[in-house]
Amino acid sequence: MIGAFAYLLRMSWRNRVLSQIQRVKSPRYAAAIVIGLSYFWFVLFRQSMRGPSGANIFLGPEVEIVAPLGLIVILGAVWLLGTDRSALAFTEAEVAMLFTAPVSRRGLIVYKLARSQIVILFNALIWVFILRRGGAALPAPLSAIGFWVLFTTLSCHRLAAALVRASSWEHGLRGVRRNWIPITVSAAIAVTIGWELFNGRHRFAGATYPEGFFATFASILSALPARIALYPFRAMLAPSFAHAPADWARAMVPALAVLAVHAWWVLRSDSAFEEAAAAASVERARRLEAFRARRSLSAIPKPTGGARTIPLAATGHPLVAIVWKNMICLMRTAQVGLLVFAALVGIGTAIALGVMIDDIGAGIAIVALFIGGLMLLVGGRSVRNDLRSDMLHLPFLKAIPISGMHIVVAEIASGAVVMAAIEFVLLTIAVAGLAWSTNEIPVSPEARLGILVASPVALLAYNGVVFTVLNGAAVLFPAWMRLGPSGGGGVEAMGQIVLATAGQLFAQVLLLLAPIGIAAGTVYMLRGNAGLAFAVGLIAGGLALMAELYFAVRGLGRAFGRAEPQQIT
Amino acid sequence: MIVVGNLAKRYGNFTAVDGLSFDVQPGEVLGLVGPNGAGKTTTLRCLAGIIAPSSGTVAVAGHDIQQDPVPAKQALAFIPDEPHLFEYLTVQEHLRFIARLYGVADAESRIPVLLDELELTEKMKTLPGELSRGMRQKLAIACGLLHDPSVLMLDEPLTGLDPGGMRRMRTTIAARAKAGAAVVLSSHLLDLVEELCTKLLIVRRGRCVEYGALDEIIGRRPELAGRSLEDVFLTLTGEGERGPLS
Repeated sequence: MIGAFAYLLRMSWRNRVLSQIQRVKSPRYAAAIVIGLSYFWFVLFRQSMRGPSGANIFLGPEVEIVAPLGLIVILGAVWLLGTDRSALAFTEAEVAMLFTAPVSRRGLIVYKLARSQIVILFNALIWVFILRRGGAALPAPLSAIGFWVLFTTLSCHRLAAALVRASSWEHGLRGVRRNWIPITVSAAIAVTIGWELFNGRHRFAGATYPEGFFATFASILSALPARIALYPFRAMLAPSFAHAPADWARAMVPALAVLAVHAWWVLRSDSAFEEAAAAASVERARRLEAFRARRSLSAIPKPTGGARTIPLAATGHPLVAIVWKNMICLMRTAQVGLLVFAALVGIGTAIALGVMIDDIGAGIAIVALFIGGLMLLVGGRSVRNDLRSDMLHLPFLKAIPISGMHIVVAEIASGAVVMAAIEFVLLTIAVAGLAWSTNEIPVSPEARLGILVASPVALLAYNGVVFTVLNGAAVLFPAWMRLGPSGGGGVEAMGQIVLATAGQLFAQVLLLLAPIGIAAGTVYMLRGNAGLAFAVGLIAGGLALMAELYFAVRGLGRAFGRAEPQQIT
Repeated sequence: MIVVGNLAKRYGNFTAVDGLSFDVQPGEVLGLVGPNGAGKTTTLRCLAGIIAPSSGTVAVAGHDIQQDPVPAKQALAFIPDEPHLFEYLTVQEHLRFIARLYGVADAESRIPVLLDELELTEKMKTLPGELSRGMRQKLAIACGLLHDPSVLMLDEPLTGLDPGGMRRMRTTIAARAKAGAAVVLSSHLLDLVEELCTKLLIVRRGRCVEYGALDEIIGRRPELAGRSLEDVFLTLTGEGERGPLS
């Protein structure tokens, strides 16, 4: 069976690489490859070959403090929300051929782990280049091995956590009891870290940012028992952050031990399932049927039913129908749990920050602006109710009586309007928080009001750019995009995500240059009245951006008209 | 209603469709038949405006599908062999969505009738993921028929349907043609083709092997007289020379 799996993986990847090479015949793909390779050479590879050249923001002491906490948050979300649906998913072909073949569940899990290795290796290499760019002293191969161990461990953790969730879902309390060790260990780690940070909250008062702030963090997390709770996470990260080969060698032993524990855990979870399943063969057959029907090893949540809907008139511009459909998509596929989790984390952080700096209003404003800023940068990647999902329905979209340009406009608007609304709410919260603040704020109340009043236009235009770039990539390079409602990929695909985000931001900056110049010029000319200057400046910039978007969307509409279903595969 | 002139579709060095010319007038049903890989689906996709032909012209309801696509598509319905449904829209929402896309003013009265005809009334608040293959196909058919198209293109429309559904679908296609629709039907079910089609376009490797009413084709090929459509098809496409599967 291992031979068959190895053959399947080898041939799949060989054929995939060959089909991607074939695409270079298309001038559009060829140009993109030349730009991509130039970027790799000049920005990542060439600089990394020069060796150490100064401080690296990815390898600073602050990152070494925060990175384990980041891992805890990511894995905590996997545990609590089960947001990582891709962890257990199989393709249609795998379901049809492997699930009906005489392959054990453990065999499927081993295959799943093996399949993820190519993505992990690719992303490990990306991270090596990203980290070496700033000048890491560790030889590239050692660094790559460190990242491979880290991402493989995370991949095992995702899979094991998903199996524990699946077992708990299928067996109820029996499933929880069977997995009491990982559940208890994970809960103990989370409670310990949370409790220690809560207990040490007063030590942040008066700490200077960033040195004092991170020093306090480091001090709290270095003391027992937080040090013990964080040990596995630090062990996972240590080889990747090692500064010299000797450090790396020392760090690899515990990192490999953590990986071995995870591998054992994954296979142990499966064994527990099989034992229980053998004890109840009739029940197992029923479950297996359901499990096959779901095409997954876990209980993947389906879109929620049609109880709630949005009314749609039968007549009017058909463009509205596309936006309506995409809003229903967002309503039914959005992970409400994740949104509630994010909101609770935001509120908690705002209050904690407010208490620390003794100014609740400023705390709320800082957190709202931070989340809003994050949304501006990467929010577009999280809302995918547009052509990134709908390109899979290209034959349908090409057969309906709407022009390509109108389809593109509707798809872009579906995401841009939602994101602009969220950012406007956050900005309003921030402005309200600043009004409540007891400290002196460097931006005058008139300027804040001017920004708030003009922000709907500016935010709509800005998000129009974001979603035009993202939808443009789906239309122009569908074979390179991960199409579908879920971006997927997990934390081990973070390297690809970072590169894709960098490309997206680069394209956005190009589109934003002229409108920012117009906005800045307007603000300068009207500087006598700050409120008016910011309001008029933002509106002028927003309108300039919309004018640019008009031409970009027209071009994309034509490209959409030429798109064909076979380009997607 | 459908006029196709010298239609060709090439992918690099491979020619999927090679110089097809035919027309389908109101009330006619054209049977598009041929072995697997003959270019039937590619032809249908060119007719529906899903893919652009490499050369040649396609006019639907008097509009060139490439130059003037919106009014051409307004008149047609394409029902593919694999239903393209949105996993997050219920059965009823699919129909409302289609109604808005095609501007069906009387959708509120037409939707319950269609749902009832296709036995989907009880499933109207169900998501496609919870429907059987046949039910999904019925929903795709309902979406295709809602705006009362004057040009109907069907790619293996009976796939997944139960016997009752198949019979109703046959009746529906015949009724639509009788009401004046131009229908193109691609199917491997030769009894269905024989029953419904007023003329045939037999293709092989993208090229037209024969075109016309069955009587006309047999008139040109006297050696096929008195033989079943299956024999005619196998002889013309050369498929009858192959042995059984091992």
